[in-house]
Amino acid sequence: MPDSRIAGVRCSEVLAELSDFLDGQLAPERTEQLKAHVLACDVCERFGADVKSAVELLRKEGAPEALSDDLSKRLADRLRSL
Amino acid sequence: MPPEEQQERPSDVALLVASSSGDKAAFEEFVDRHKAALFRFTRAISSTPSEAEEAMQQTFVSAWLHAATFRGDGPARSWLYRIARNAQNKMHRRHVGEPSEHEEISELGRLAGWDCDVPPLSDVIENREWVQQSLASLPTDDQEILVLIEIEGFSLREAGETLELSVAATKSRLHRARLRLLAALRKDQDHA
Repeated sequence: MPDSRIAGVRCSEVLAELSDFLDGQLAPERTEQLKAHVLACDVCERFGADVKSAVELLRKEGAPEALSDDLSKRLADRLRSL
Repeated sequence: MPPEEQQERPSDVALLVASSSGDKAAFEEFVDRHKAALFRFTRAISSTPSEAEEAMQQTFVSAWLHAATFRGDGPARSWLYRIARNAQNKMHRRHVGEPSEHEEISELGRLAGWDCDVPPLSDVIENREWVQQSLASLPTDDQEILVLIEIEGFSLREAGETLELSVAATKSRLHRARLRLLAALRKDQDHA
C-alpha cells in the first residue's frame, strides 16, 4: 500500500487513526496534522470518505427488523408466567 | 414528553431496585423501555428471528431473576446487554470466520479498497438489503460493536462496559469492524 509522508504524517498513520479522526477522538494538534494530510492526499481523502459513507449507510439502513406486536405480546406472556 | 413527566420518570436503577423486591410493574416498565432496542441487538447477532426472540426473552427472564445483582456501578443497559450476549452465547453463537484482533490494519485497509480504483461508496445507490446482508456477513464481534455504537448510539465507554473491553480496546475493535464492514459493502456492491 502507498505510504506517502504528507504534512508530516504517513498514510499508514491515517489509516490506523482514521476512526478516531472521524469521531473527533484525537487531540486537537493531532487532528490538525491528519486534517492537513487528508486535504493533500487523494488516497486518504477518498478512503476516509468511504469509511464515513459506510458508517452513515449503516446508521441509516442497518437497523434490523423492529419488534412486532406479536413478539411483544409473547414476551409479556412469558414474563407474566414468572 | 412534558417536563413534569420527565422528572417523574423513574431511572433504570430505581426500576431494577424495585424489581429486585418483586415489583412486577416496575419491571414491566423497565422491559417496555428497553425491549425494542434489545430486540434489534439480538436480531443483529442471531442467525434467525426465532433465535433473536428466544435470546431476548431469556435476557429479560434472567434480568428479572437476577435484578438484585445489578450494582449500579455502570449503566443499566450495559448490564442488560451483557445478559443478552451471554444468552446468545449459550444458545448458538454464529461464527462467520473468527475476527483477528491481530490482523494487520494495512490488510484490512486493502480489503476495504484502500488505494483501489473504485467509485466512491457515496455514489452507490442505497439499498437496505445490501447493507443488512453486509452487516450479517461480518463476524459476531463486529456486528455487536457496530450495532451498539452506530445503531443504538452507545458511547465508547458504554459499549466497552457491555463488551467488557477497555475504551482503547473498544476503539480498536470499532475501527476494525468499520473496515470489515466497508470491505463487505464493496464485495456486495454489485447487488446494491
